[in-house]
Amino acid sequence: MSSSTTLPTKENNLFKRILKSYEHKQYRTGLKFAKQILSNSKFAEHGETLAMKGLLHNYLGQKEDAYELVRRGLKNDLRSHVCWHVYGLLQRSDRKYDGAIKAYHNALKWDPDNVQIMRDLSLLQLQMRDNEGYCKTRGRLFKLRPNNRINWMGYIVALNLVGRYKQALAMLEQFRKLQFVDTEYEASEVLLYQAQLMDEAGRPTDKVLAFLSENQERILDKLSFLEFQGRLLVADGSYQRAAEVYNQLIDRNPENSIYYQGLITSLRLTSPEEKLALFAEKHSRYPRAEAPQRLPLDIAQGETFRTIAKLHLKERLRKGVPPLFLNLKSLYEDAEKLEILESIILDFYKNLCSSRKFEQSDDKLEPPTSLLWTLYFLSQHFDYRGKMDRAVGFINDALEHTPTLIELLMCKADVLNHCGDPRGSVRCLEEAQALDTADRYVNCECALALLRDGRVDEAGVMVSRFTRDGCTISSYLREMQCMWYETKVALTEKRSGHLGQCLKACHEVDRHFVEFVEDQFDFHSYCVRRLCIRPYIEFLRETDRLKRHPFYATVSELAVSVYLLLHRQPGLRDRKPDPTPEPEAARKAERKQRKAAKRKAEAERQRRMEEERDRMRKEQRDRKRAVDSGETESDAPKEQELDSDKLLHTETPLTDALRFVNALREFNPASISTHLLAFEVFLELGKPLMMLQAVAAATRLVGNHSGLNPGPPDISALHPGIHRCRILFSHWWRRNSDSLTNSDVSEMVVAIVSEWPPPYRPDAELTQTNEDFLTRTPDSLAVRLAVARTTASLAPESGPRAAAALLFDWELDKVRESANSIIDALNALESLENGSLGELDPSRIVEFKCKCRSLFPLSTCFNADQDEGTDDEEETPQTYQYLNGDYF
Amino acid sequence: MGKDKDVSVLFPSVTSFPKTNPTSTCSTPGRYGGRIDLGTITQHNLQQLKRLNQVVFPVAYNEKFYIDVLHVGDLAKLAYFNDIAVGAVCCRIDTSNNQRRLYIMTLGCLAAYRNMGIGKVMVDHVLSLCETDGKMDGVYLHVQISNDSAIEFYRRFGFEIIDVRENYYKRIEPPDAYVLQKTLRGTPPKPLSWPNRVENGVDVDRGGGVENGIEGGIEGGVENGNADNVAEAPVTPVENGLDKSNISEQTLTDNCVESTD
Repeated sequence: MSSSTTLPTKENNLFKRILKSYEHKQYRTGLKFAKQILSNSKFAEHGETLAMKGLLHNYLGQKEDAYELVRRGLKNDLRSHVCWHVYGLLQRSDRKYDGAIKAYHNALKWDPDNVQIMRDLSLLQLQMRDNEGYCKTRGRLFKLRPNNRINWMGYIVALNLVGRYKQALAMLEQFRKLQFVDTEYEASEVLLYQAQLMDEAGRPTDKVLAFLSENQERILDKLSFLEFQGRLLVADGSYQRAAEVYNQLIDRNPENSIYYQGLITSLRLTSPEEKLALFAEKHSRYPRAEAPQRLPLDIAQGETFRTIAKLHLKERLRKGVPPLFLNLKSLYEDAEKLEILESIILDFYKNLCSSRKFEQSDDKLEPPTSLLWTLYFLSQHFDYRGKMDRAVGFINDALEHTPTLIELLMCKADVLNHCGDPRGSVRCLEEAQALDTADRYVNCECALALLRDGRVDEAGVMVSRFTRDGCTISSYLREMQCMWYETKVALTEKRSGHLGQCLKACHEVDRHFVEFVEDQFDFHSYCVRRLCIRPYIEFLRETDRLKRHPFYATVSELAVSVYLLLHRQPGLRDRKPDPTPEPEAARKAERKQRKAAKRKAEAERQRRMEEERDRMRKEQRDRKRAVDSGETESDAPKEQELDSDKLLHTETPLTDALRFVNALREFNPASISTHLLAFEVFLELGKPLMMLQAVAAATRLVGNHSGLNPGPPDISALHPGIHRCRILFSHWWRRNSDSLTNSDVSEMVVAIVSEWPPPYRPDAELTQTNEDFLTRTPDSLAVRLAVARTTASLAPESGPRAAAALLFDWELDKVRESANSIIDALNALESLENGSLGELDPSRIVEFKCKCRSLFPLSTCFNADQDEGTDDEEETPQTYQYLNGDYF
Repeated sequence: MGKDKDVSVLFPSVTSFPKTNPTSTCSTPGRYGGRIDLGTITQHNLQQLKRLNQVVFPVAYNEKFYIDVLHVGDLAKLAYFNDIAVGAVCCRIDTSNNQRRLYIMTLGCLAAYRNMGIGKVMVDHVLSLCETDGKMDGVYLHVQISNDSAIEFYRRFGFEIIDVRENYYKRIEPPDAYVLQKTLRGTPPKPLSWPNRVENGVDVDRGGGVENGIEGGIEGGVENGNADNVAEAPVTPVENGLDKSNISEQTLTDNCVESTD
């Protein structure tokens, strides 16, 4: 022990008992021993005992005491590896990994060969992806304890991660000779890992293949073996053998489309006819497999496609395959195929109505369900094509035909939602879920629809039909990491102007991702111990990519835009959640609101009751546990419940946003909104180079309209977001370039900006450029919104009115003809409502909604009063008057 | 609903699966390559029964009807065609007149699925229940006197007209009902003669099927209902003797015309 103070035997024994208690998680017992030592005045300031006492306190949940004690212990004994180790553990338990790593390093300084500390350190290094450090630590562990197979494999993995393949392979070869493996399966995994490592290291393909063949008998995971072998054989050009392998794979699983691609490559089939013949052969051999029937549709063209598609559709419409449309949707990207499919299905419909056959040439009559599924398909087809009246018509026909089929109601809900009628969508799904209350999927869809309709509380009640008893909805969903729900809540709350609630939901999702990364920890030691290295390495790499997930991207974008709003309009923080109702609708709205409030209050009351009950149960449980074990333990640091108010009233919205911006830039660089949002944040932070970087990245994504090509720049082709960025940048630069002291920056900026089209440069008439942009593309709502927001940003004082006017001055017919989505209109509405275009007279918002209503005649989401017409109606299930003879 | 403590609400997928699986019994091949199955009615799919009755019959049944249906076991069944619920049969055991008889309260299916053999599957089911029971004296039901296709349908299963109840129905025209019965034990009551239209082979036009389906369905008025009906359902007139029938019958009728001739 390098410790400066050593205890006499008696106390030393006590100290050992503290350590033992700690290892056995008997924290209170440990504290008793610590007290015995410390009560001796000679050792009252004994550093290691104090540190241990602190650690024990930590596990009993007394954080503050813990830190104080450990720090005091450390101060008293800076040369003790125990104190440093404890300090490291303490920080680790609070997820302060950087600090913990430092503490471990200090501990190792005083006890360089302490295996336990090294192990702890290596895990943290890996967790933090300090691969070099991990490799170094693992190397030392290996040298100290070369008889332990974990130390071998740990070092091999480390070498793999830092790319020292030669050494890794040499060690792996040695590892196998040393007979470290216990089971045949472990041996098999090690062999596959070695092959994978050889491949990764760039060894010649034939060497890897030879290695695989040599060991074929001992590799038990035949699937991985064959897939790997097939891939290598193709790469090696050994097509004949590759074809054999892929045939074997298809025989194992005729549904995997990758195998068919492999087979086609190995057989060097190029013409569509050859490929189709191959699929025909596979189909006759595996008649029940879907892949050999579906894949030909990707390949066939023209009349061949028509023939195959007809048969494909006919069989599935007869059988009743609900996801049929979904399975074929990818074909719709091909305009010709879309037309063919449409003509086939309309023909089917006509024939079914007139003669109960898909085609006149069919010899048998169809059961009524064939017509039903055809109607279902037709509705989805026209929904896809945006012909909403036809989509609605067909799904209504289908529901008249068979009102008990849940899929129809779900389809109608989708269609209505696309029409901009979220309320109608909810009604359909409520009926759907009543038809089968045991179907959790329908239940979730229904909750989703309620969220889309802005009814967060009711959505909670809906999902709670499936949540565990004695648990609040939100805590249950949080525990289940139910991100589809939280993401949707975030979207909904932002649209409703509840920015705090939106931020809370965003941060919940963010926490889940933190949690996912945390969850790796246990695998670092487990996987190496069990020798499942291949999946482990893939798992490590995948974890690094986790935040690419769309959920994360969505909440990040939402959080950033909310923080921007809070920064630009601090007043929003104190804005009442419900905007004042429009004058003419006021009375009606008031009544509706009262009703909604009542409903809300009821949901709230229920929630409170549940929370209360939940809390009491939990307390009871905790008490019980404490009594049972005499201990309470906390393994993870207790997360504080997120407080939407606190999030809303942040002092540093831009700094808060920056974290999400950086994540977006790292993980979603291919999304243009990443860079547009980044630009806005950097603009507010006054970082010219970062702004330009964002503009450049966005420009790269949408193609080059930078005006580098000589000739008059076609600014109307410019992405409206980039248009805005450039104008705002030049505007900012005009006002701030003088105050910049760094001349390098100025030079760079000038160099970059000089390549922009003249109307966007700082010396241009920016207001004019902005207005020109609108006149060239006057019929797109997205463009209008971008221009309006830019106008507001350029002249905050006089801008608002002009900006808002831009949103009203349309020619309805023209706007209707150009592709405007409901989302564009909703975005515009949101900007009007949240005041980012300036404070508007409420009547103007009503006017805008009216225009949107005429633009989307089937919508209800632009009704002056959101609750219009639905609350009063008793929820009578619509009766579908059945009309016989319509179809037959 | 959300506060329902029934375990099957908490783990519905587990507990409801065997109950709601329509293919748990052996499928019967229907016409045009369809499959017909009967399935149990549970609290989870009860709404499907309500929806069907709403569409098929012109009458609303009250809550008690639906609560009872959950507890009668095989006496109430949903009929599935190609896995879609398209029809239903609901019966109860009637012990009036010192007899033990099965009373068909409702039996019907969606118009688009008539003539598929679904009605036959349901009636066969009812008859096999009686056979299993072994102590049934008969099966009976009410049918509106104008509902030719339904009358013809039951005739083919060996039902006879044993009585006419005047003003049995309250809100539909004509308000009179036949009592149709298939006697299983004991001396059958002397049957009345079949209406001429039916006897003569019937010209049930296709469009009429629906009409029949709906009107045929009808509930019995309490006044007319027998004593136990009144006892069981004192509150609503709607609830007791609904007989509905008619169902898939109309083409069955056609078939039958051919075969019986």
